[in-house]
Parts: sequence; C-alpha cells; structure tokens
Amino acid sequence: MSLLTVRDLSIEFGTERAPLVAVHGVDLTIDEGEVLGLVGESGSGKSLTSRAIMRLIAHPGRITSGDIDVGGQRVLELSRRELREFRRSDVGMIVQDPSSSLNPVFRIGAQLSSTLRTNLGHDRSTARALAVEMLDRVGIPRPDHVYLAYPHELSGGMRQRVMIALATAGHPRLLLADEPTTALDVLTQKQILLLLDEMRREREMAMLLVSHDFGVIAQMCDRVAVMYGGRIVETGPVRDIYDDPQHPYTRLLLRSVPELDPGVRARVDQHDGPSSELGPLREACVFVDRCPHARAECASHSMELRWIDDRRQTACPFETTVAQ
Amino acid sequence: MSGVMGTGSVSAVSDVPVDVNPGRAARTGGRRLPTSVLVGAAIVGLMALAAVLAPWIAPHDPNALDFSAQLRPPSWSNWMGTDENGRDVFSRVLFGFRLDLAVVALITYLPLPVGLLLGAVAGYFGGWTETIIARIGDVMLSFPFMVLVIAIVGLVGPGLKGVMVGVLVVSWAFYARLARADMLVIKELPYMEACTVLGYSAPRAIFRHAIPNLVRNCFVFSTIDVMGNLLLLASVSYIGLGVQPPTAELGTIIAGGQPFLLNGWWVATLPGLFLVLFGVGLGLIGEGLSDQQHRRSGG
Amino acid sequence: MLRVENLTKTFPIRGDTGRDGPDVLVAVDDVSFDLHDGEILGLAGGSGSGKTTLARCIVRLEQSDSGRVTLGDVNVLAARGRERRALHRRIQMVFQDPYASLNPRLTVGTALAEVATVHDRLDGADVDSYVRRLLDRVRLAPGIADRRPRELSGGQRQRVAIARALAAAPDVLIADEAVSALDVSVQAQLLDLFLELRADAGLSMVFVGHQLAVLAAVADRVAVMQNGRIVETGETAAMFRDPHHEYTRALLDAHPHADPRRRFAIGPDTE
Repeated sequence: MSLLTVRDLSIEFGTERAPLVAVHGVDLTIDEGEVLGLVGESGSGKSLTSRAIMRLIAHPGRITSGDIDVGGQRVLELSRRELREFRRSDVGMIVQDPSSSLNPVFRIGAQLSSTLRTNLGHDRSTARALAVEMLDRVGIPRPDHVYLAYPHELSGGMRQRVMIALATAGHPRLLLADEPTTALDVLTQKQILLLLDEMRREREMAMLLVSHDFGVIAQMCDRVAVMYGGRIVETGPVRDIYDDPQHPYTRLLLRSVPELDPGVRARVDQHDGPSSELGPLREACVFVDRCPHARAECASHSMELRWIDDRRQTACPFETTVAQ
Repeated sequence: MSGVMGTGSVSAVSDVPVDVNPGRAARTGGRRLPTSVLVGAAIVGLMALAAVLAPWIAPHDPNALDFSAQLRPPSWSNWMGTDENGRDVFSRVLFGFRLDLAVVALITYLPLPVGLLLGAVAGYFGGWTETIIARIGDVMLSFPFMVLVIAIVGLVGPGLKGVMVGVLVVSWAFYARLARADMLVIKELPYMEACTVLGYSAPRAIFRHAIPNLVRNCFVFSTIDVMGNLLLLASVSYIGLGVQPPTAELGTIIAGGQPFLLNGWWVATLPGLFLVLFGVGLGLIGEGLSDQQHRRSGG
Repeated sequence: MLRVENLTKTFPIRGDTGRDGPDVLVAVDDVSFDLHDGEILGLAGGSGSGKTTLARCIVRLEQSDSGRVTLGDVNVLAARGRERRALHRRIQMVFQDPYASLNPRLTVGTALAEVATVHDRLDGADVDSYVRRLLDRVRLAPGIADRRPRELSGGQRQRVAIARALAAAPDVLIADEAVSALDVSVQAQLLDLFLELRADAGLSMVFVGHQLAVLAAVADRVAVMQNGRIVETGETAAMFRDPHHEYTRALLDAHPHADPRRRFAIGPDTE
C-alpha cells in the first residue's frame, strides 16, 4: 500500500485560452519508508511537482488535473482546515533556500517553539525544551545559544538543519526535500544528506528528494524518476538506471554528471538548445529537439511510459543503443 | 564580501523557475509595451496634443468676455459652460493646460538628466563625491516644498519665474536620490564589475552601461513628478502666487470658479476632472512600465 | 605566465562579533602560486575558503592588502592608467551568474564590439566579422549578435560572457564558478568549450570552482584552499587519487557519486 500516489498530475500557467504547460501527466508512487528521487534540470517541473503534493501551487499556476493521495487522504479535495492539519502532521517540506522560510526578524527558538505550540499543542515551557532538544537532534552545536539567535547569524548549513527540525517537528510520514543542499558547499551537503538519512530512518519517514544533481539522488534514493519538459521520461531503481539508462535524456544526464575520476570523458552528444521552455501542450516527445536519435515518429509521440521490466519504465518507445 | 558567501548562494540560479514565469513565455514579443502603457500614452498623448493645438482647435477665444453669456451650464456650444465673465471654460482649459504643460515639461525634464547624472556619479564613486552630492540633495529635499517655493516667490515676485526656480532648485534631488540608490545596486552586479575587468573607463561604465539601466526608474518617477508639478503649479496659481489672472491656467480657472460653486459648479469642477484624467493617463504609463520591468526581472 | 606572491586580503567586520578575536576577516592569507603558460589551474575550496576573493584580487576588483601579482614582467597590482588598461587586455574574467553578467540593455553584438573597440583589437578588420568570429569560437550562431541577453538561455549567456572576455584577446582567463549556475548538460558543453579554447588559443586559465568533479574534468593542476590558505597543490589526477592534506581528502570524500554503489550514507544498500 503506497503512502503517496500521484496520478496524472498536470500543472499549468498562463490563461485558459493560452495555457503554458509546466507539468503534464505525472504519475508517482512512494511506499512507506521509501526514498524516491526526482531528478531533472531547470524547467523540468520537478519542484512544481513536489509543491503540488502539499498543494502549494499559487496563482498564476494551477493544478489542472490529477489525483494526489497521501495515506488515504485525497489532497486536492481537502478543505482548508483539513489541509492545514495535513500540512502540519502528515507532510513536511524543506526547500533550497532556508532564508525564505525563516522569518528574519524572529529568533530561531521563537519560530521553532511557536510551531510546536500551534501545531502540536504543547505549552510554552514544554515547547521550549522540545525545541532545544530538536536543535540538538539535528546536530546544532550549543543549541541553547542558537535558540536565541537570528537566522542571519547562522551559516547556510545551520539554517538548513533548523529547517529540518521545523519540518520534522510534527513527525510527518512523508518528507519533501526540494533541492535541500543545492545552496550549500560540498562538505556541508554531505553532512546534511547524512542527517536527512538518519532522521528518515529514525522516524520511519518516506522521502521525496528533488534535485538536479544525480549524485545527490544516487546517495540517498532507492528509486528515481527522471523528468524533462514537465514529463516523467524514465523511472526505476536507482542502480538499474545508473547501470543501464534507457531514455536518451537520462543517458545525456548521466554522461554530463562530472565525476572525480578525470579519465577520458565521453564527448557529450546532444544538440544545443534551451533546457525546456513553457509553452502549450505539444504533440511531440519533449526531448525531440535535443535527442540525437530523433526520428520522424518522435514528432507525434504521446510520452506514455511503458514498462521495461516489472520495476522500470521509460517514455521512449525505441530501443536505442548507447552511441559512443 | 562575495568572496566569503559566493560559493553557495548563486547555484540556486539554475533552478530559479525563470522558465515558469509566464511573462517570459512571451519571449517572441520581447519589446512590446503592455496595454496599460499604451492606453495611458493614448490619453496623455491626446490631451497633450489638444493642448498644443489649442490656438487652432479651441472653439472660442479664451479671453473673450461676453457678459450676456455669464455662467452658462455645459452645452454644445460651450462644452464646459462659461464662467462669470462669459468666457468659454473649455477654451480656457485648453489654453491653460497648454501653458501648464509647457511649464511642467520644463521643470520636470530639466532636472531629470541633471539629477540622474549627479546621482549616478555619486553612487558610482562613493567617498567624498557621494557624500557631498547626497548631503546637498538631502538639504534640498528636507525643505517643505511649498514653503520653499513661496519663499522664492517672495524674493523674485509672483509669477511663473518664481515657481520655476523653486522647483528646479529642489527637483533634481529626487532624481539624484533615485539614481544613486539604483546605482548602488547595479554597481555590485557582475555586468558592471565586468566593466572594470574589461578595463573600461569610468565615464564609459557610467554613461554607456549604468545610465541606460537607471533611466527607466527615473522616467517612471517622472510620470508622478509631472502630475505633482502640475498640481503644484495649479496650487500656487490658485493661491495667487503663480500665474496671474487673467492668463488662463488650470489653477486660476479653478480658483476663479470657486465662489460660484453653487450656481456654476462646472467652472471649478470640470477643469479639475480634466486634470484628474491626465493624472490617470500618466499613472497608467508609469505603472505599466514599472510592472513590465518587474515581470522581466523574474517577478 | 602569472605569478602570485604572498597575496593577502582582509575585510573589516562591522558590529559586535561576540568573539574575542580581532575584528577582521582574513579572506586571503599569504597566498602564492604560479600559473604556467597554457595551463588550466583549478582553484578549489568550500565557501569561505577565499578562492573567489583571490580571483577578484588578481583582476583588481578588490584591493589586496599586500602581496605581488606579476604577469610576465608586469606588476599587476601596481599598474595605473594606460599600463592598467593594457593589463586588462591581458587578464579577463568570466563570472558565475549568467543572468547578471551581461548588460541587459545591450545587444550581444554591441557588447562584443565595444570590447574590441576599446582595446583596439580590430586590426583593420571590420566590426561585424570580428563579432561573428568571436561568436563562432564560442559555438554560437551569428544571429545571436542581434539578440539581447534576456532572449538567451543560461548556457548561451555564459558563452556570450566568454566571448566578451575573449574579445580582448587575453593571455589569462579567470573563470569564477563559471559553470556552477548551469544545468549539468549545459555545464558539460561549456567545459568542453573551455578545453577547446585552451587548445586553440593557448589561453592560460584559473578555474575557480567548489565542485572537485568539475575541476577534474577541466583542470591540469588544482590548488585547494581552506580558510584563505592554499593547503595543497598538485596534478589533478594524482591528487584526487592520493590526497595528502586532510581537507582535500574531506572534499573528495564529500563528493556525491552518481554511482549508487559508492555511497557515503550508511544503510542497507551499501554493499
């Protein structure tokens, strides 16, 4: 029984007459305790997808189709009050830039304990003690000091830890992490990723990790969904995808990821062009402009996912071999 | 201190949903002006054109007295009725507006380039240059505008001259302050730093690179300033210190119509509405341009 | 080609730091290194390591407190007036943020032409063909010359920024996190471009980056910085295989491998 099921999600901008499709026909599932990675470059729609799960799509964006089911609750049909409850206790979210989620004029401790009080009904002193404990749990040194600090006095890594504390305060069953380490340097990134992994195991949370960095995804995830141009182009266990990517875009992505071994890098085979732009719904495969294997049939491809084996799917209907 | 904070903070750029910005989807258009600007420009343009062509299109002589037609309400022959001296109000409004516009154009668009330049230079160089320019500007801005104008009028005598001098002395400071603030911001941007790295001289960096990016905000502000100056001119004339009757000018017309509000309301109100319409047009232009800028920079 | 000796740069810290120490931040602490002819030197380090400040000092965007920088036989830091202008012809920089490094009001062609004119690089050739050649070198279509930055993608803008730097025909190019803000697929293309430029034009480069894997792809040697000092320098492949300094090792260990078998997370999947 999946914890999260997303079916046929579509998100659009623009007007009814001239819609700009940002996400189309996205299906996702996450089981209890599983970590799903959502990987893609800018404009792929991955961030929007994760926000939609918490119904955080604001005007002028709108969810035009789809179901989102978290633990039996149909998210898109929740009332305002139910939605608040849902955001409080079932799902947590951490984002790339913690500064936008932390109010700069309030101290860290105040924000944390206020969350604990309103969301979990603790009284003032319990909340305070709990807050300090949580700061400690996320690895913040001298938590009682930091409790009194303002967001700008902390480093990026520390702020992200505070965010993690805030997001997991309500013991959510699902954690959405949208580029949580993109703005951090590589050493801090490792610490944060390890922390996330620890907390996930400890609290038995499932996680949706959104990132443009395949390395980050590979470190943390059991399964991966690759997005491009608002669609999912490939899904599967992370190891299978790494060893044998099926979709041309996935291959491009994997070949582009810089690796430490400065051996001979295969020359990246692609056509130039912007990553993806918003526009009306096209009949063609979203990758057709850049795909080195593009054929005539690609101009009218529906981007439906087909199963390769019982765990993997791809949107490319052709058996293309890895060109070298 | 970008050296210290530099590493992480900009990696976010690749994932800023710039592609999700609906305005950017109109990339094909690029330079098109938003509707509000076009509407505003149409209003302003038409009214200004009417004012310029006043001598040719005014239905009556603005100063022609006709005591047989005093305080006639608006009609087909007198669109805004007549005043207590039988003069056609609409013609007076056209001529008055013509005078107003001429004066206001001068007192708004003369200080603009001066202020823009001084502000840009102050922001770019900093140090003493900035301090001197900024402090003088602050002094100018701290005067209550009207009081200053009245004081100058007291020195120079009533009439247009006083108002103009007063405004010019102070107005540049608004633009200077605006330009300086913007310059402080763009100075830190890579494309301005690139000017240094590319070895461009300061004048080149300021004139060719900075100022074209500073002009827009100053221009947007000028649309407000025009209206402000128009109202100022009308107000000062209204209290008798600006344009002197019988010269037609919106302020004097309104002042003249005041005693007759009960039985000749049109003399004071219709010219006022005329002014309001002009203000709306300017507002549309200013807002529209400003919105377009916001949308372009990622909103 | 380029020699940096004992460069130091400090920033005053304003306000109460709450610490007992002095109120300055030593961003660059007595740094020395050499850039050889035709070499690509990587400058690595986490945030706060001082690498960007160092790069900015070399280009004189920041004023260093002490030290020497020599390009050939010219003293970079002390040059003034005409000499300074000649210097800017020889050392150029590409910035990190593609969205802010081009003047939004100038077309690409205008911006490139301006560099050529100011630095007198036209050599009698007409402006248009010079611009076209530049665009060609960075693999952009000639039509790009008439576009404005906002019509271009991040990758294209960076190429224009590179073209602008090349327009001065420099000997040394400093890339300050030039690919960090780009998508990986675009990043890969740009790294290839840098390698090409080095091969064709004999450019020497200082490539500042915080991702070691990126440097692995492009740098011949790497200097690792921590807290304003260079802690290790060496040939890229050798250093990455066998780092000496613990900071280098920490950076290498922190690299998130795309191979899910090489995880640093401790979990049931690690085999």
